[in-house]
Amino acid sequence: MTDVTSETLRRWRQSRGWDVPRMARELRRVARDSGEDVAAHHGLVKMIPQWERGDRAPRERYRLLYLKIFTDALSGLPPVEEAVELALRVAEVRSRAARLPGPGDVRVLEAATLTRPRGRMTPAEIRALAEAAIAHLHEVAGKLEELSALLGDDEADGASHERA
Amino acid sequence: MAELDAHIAEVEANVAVLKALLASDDFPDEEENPS
Repeated sequence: MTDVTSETLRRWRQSRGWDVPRMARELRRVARDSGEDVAAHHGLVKMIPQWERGDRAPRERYRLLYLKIFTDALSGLPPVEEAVELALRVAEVRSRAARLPGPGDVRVLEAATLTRPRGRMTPAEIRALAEAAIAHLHEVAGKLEELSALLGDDEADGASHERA
Repeated sequence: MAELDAHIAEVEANVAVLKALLASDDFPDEEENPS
């Protein structure tokens, strides 16, 4: 744990989606499970930001508690094969999303289709089809954002649905 | 992920129909009333 920087403590906590009080509760929970005596909740809430800023280093018993939490979290990760499969799946779905036309493209397609003298669908049906496609495009954009947030990455999804 | 997949599939399907309509040569008026 000596090579873990204060910044790492903050990033790791945030990657779990935990605020400082939650981190304090987790430290106290692990301490309680192992029969350790630690500071009160409000004391930890003050100390954690100090550790994360590097103002002061956590004492050994707290370093060991952090280590216990890290270890528990790592043991909960899926096996490497599953993680690779998931990564490939995410890449594939992002690639498909990136190939989709944008709402503007759908509108152009809709307008062009409506100019045909007569089709197998009524103009109302064509408009409804385009509307549905655009609505689904918005859903795709939302889900991609959720996915990125979940994975904690900043990767631009590159989906063409963002195009006007 | 399944939901995202489903939305993408819906867009792909709808766009495919629009493109097919646009590309279609199936215009009865033109076929039935050649000038």
